[in-house]
Amino acid sequence: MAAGNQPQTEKPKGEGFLGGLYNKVFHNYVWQSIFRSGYPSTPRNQMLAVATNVFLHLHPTRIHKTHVKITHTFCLGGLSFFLFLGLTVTGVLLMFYYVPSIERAYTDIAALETNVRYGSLMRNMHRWMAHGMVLTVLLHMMRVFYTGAYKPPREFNWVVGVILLILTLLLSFTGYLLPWDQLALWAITVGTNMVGSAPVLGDSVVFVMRGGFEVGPNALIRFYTLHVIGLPLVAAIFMAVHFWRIRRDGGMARPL
Amino acid sequence: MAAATPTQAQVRPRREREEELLVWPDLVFVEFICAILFTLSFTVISALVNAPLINRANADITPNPSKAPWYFLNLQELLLHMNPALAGVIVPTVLLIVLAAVPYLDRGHEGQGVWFGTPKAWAITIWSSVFSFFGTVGLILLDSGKHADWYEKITGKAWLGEVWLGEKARTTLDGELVGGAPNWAPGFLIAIYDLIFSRNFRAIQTEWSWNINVFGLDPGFGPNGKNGVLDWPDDFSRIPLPIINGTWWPKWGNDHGEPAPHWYQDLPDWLTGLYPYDLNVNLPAILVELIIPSVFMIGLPILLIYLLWRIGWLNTRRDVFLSLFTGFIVAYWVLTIVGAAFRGAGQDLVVPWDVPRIDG
Repeated sequence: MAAGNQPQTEKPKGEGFLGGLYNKVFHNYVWQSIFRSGYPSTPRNQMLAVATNVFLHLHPTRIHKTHVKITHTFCLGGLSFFLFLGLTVTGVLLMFYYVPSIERAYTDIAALETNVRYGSLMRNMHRWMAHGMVLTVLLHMMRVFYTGAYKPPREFNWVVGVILLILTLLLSFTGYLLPWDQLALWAITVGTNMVGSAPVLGDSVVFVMRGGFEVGPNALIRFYTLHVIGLPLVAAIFMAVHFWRIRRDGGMARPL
Repeated sequence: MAAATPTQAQVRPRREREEELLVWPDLVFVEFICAILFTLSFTVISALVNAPLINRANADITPNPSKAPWYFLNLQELLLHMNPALAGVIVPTVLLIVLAAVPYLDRGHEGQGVWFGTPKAWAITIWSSVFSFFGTVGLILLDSGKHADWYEKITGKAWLGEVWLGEKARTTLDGELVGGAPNWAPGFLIAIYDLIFSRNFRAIQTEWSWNINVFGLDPGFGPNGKNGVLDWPDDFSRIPLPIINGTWWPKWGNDHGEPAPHWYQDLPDWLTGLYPYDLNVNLPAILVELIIPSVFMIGLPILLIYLLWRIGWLNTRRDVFLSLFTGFIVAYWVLTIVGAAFRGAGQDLVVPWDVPRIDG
């Protein structure tokens, strides 16, 4: 590596004020207990940063260069996950102000606009991100199909993906009822009626979904519980499997 | 590539280190920038556009039209065209199962890891999109009768009879048939000559009426009872299922003073007690709501595959699934968009600016 005309030895540098400050902040006992590797400025540290960080270790440490091209994936899977995280954050904030009873649900949502600072921003973000997630998940499925990424050995991960698509739709559908306005009530009525037309089991399934014969207080509390805890938990489990399998199946698909 | 063994032993050659990049920074930074851009755009959108919130839920006031969330409007659109169980449950279930099974049905390695990786992938995708688009739109129009309405509006002539035969021929046909033909002929034949089905498949169920003289063998299921002729659709719309719902022997038997046979009377009560009229076979409805839609939903994809095969573009299973998946995706979006933007009050097919805004 060393070119011929460069000096053979490096001149020792003084620490200086900024260097000293840098060392105080990043090379102290506490910092290094949190981040084991140094700043990722060398290939070694860059790989260590990815491999030793719980959030980054979903990634491999190195990746084929075609997979970094935006047009290969359009980031759709990652964005779906990112939207899921964003929905969790905004959703938790919404839960502070929302009570799932037919007396309070509608007024709580309406009060977000007037009584809560940034309340409508929060609700709008939750709503648009939810629509966005349905879209990105659908588009992600199309991306995976058209790049042939479901082929062996990734068959099962495609199945997990289909389950996640269904869970995404269910998450969005259960959330649709919660504002308890006319749009919500009738969309859920129409939607659950569709299930009711199933042969043999239809009526019983709808009864269980609604907790009664029509969309009322029982349906609201069921949809709420599923929306804020049941379905997100199941989705998180399937996401963990989905991401794990990407790594286990050899990363993203490549031509043979 | 090394010598290819015929089994799945084709092993990817070891990656060259030069073709690889480090995830930090090359991937992590891209993801980070994506996340920032998405957060910013959603913040801006949310600051500018408010999520809808209309009047408090009221079970006594049904908005017209009532619509499901947009990603289920494709199913709601299907519901308008066929039996609810078929549209709302069977079709989506079958589709999801087939969708999940795709990698098990298409196990080859062709077209893996690159966009549209088989030689004719682009052509197949575009062709299937066009086919599916016109197929879906065409079927929606055909089932709504809009093409006939538009024809009548533009030309001022009636769709039935005149389009296909001309007024003169129709009058002659009418005269001849009604005059000398057997009494089953008018309704049966004129409907076929008129091609009333070209306006709307539901016409088979609602507008097509004919009868055949069966010389007293009429079982009398319809409202006309045993009038000696077999009426369409009446005599075909309430065919009792023997044994299952108990309408056959007791009803028929009691009506005409004949006791039901012993073996029937010996059946347990819970079996003979099943008496819902829903269990009667409604042949015209089955034809219109189950058979015809199923024929189209299964037949059109087969036709698509057949055409592409004749063109010579389909080389592997991957190509077949490319075509089917594209057809499915395009049909999905067409149905969703029609359901969202083209269905007005009473789920009538209208232009988007005539779709009422629900705000009450």
